[in-house]
Amino acid sequence: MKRMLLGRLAALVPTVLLASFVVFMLIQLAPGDPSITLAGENATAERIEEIRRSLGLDRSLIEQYLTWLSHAVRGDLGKSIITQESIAAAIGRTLPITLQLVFGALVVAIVFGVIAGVASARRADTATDAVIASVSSAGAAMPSFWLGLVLVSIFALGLDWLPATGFVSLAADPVRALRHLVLPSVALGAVGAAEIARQLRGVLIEILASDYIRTLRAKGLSESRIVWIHALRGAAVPLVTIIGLQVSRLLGATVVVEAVFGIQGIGTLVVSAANNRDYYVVEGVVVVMALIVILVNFAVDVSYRISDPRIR
Amino acid sequence: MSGGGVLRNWLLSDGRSRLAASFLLAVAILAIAAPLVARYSPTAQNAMPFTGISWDHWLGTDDLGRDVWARLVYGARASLLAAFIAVGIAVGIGVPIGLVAGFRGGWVDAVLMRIVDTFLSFPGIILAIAITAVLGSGLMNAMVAVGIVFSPSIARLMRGQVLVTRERGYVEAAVSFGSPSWWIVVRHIVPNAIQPVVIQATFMLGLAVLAEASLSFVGLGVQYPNPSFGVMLRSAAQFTSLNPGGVYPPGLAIALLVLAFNALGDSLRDVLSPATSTRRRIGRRANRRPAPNPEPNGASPRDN
Repeated sequence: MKRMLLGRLAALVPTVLLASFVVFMLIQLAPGDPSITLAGENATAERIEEIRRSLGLDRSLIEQYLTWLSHAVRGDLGKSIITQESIAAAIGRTLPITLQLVFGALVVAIVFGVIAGVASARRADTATDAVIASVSSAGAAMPSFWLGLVLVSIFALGLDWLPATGFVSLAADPVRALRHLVLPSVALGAVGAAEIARQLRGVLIEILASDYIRTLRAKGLSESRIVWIHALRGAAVPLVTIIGLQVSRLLGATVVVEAVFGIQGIGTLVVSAANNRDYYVVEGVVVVMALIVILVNFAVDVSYRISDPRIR
Repeated sequence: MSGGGVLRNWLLSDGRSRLAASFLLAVAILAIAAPLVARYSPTAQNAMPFTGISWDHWLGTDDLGRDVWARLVYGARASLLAAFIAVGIAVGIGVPIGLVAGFRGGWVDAVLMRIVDTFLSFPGIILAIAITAVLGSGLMNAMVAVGIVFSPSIARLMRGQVLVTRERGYVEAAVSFGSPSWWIVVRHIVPNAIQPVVIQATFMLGLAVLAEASLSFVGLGVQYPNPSFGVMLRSAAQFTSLNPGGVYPPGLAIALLVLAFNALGDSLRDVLSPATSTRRRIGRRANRRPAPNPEPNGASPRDN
């Protein structure tokens, strides 16, 4: 087991390196010269050349990449051209906010998705099933950020039940944090819930028709015990895969949802960097996001190797 | 079955696909005929802000007194155009890569698929934002970015199909007759491998509408003062307390477009390749090791 883990972990290294190389090269395609930007107006040619040298821009691309990489593995992603803030510090400040949001959305997606998936599988091809199917295909088609706007206009501005914007850390004040988290989590999690419900339904219908479930029924187990304990355990492996795919999607979707709720997460950071053409910040964020996705995929891979001995 | 026969059967067999196709056709006609159906310019101030629904302004006016209906039909133009450009680019990049990887095999396949997998490890919208940052904002650049982001999954799908098709008897027969490779690819492989790509591209049109809206919403897509659904949501979002209804027209338009493209994709899949329709594919996956990329032929035993 330990060898398998280490082997899989080692296999990630080339993937991560390739991803970082792709992002690095992409950023090199950007027009303009950061040393001219940094030198400001009326700078002399010597001054610009000096900055170019200090940034290492006079060396070959491969050298530049290796320098960047050697700094990056030590946690130094460079400085923002616009704000001069350390990029690692900016990501460290904004990433926990985004992760809290993604966590909230995952809870919403899993709770509602599993309940809806189980309900429609147990009542397959009935009116309940049809209603859940229509609601979830509508949910899957709705842009998360639009759902966020609608929720804000109803529950925050209309009914005044929940705050419209802002963010509070769960560690600082759990009650206020949850109040701030509800609307963005629902907005982000709705699409995931729809996807989990749709896929879980298919998996469960298959399982509920299988021989071991028939045996359990013959033994006289209650239907809800069969569904919630035995069938759902059988569905665990595909369920974990679906949830893993949702994490990647949520990390992307949160970018726009943060803008709706005025949350200063990593999405807001990358969007303002992209609008200001602050390329190094964009580079740092994309690499960190890719790293998270690769690690989540790794966790999913390992978890089903552990839960299903046949694929070990 | 001939192409026309498939099309006729499909439209006759399924009420949902008929509804989706008619809706999309109606939107396309409105978008093309925008100057005729909109009575005002989409960018000019025509009245007081937030007049509400009236005979003069069917959907009211926005924060700058522009006619919302006019902006909606011109916005549909931008959104549909954006979707087709993005998916066209994705197919244009993805199909040749998948074709070469699947047909050539060996190290070419290994290298290409490694690159494809790398691109798949970025969250799509974040990669699109990064590419847009490099290219500069604007509708065309944003859609090039979305097209690039979509292309790896098309390449993977195409490669899987080519691997399957390559083993078919008619391809082996053509090889043994001594037909040149390009002829085999054009005559036998592409026509038989392309169907799942067409289905996937239909779903992607919906995703591209969402992507345009997202990028324009954060200011990287369509630029002020031109309308698109994302731009309209962006300005409506700033005035939700003054005009809470403002978010509904563009938001519903996006949701309905996406729903229509999804319904069209679903029914196309049922007609073109019944073996991979949703229900049965999920059933099969339940009994197998689930692959992170759940396409039917993503992981054949001959991988690499």
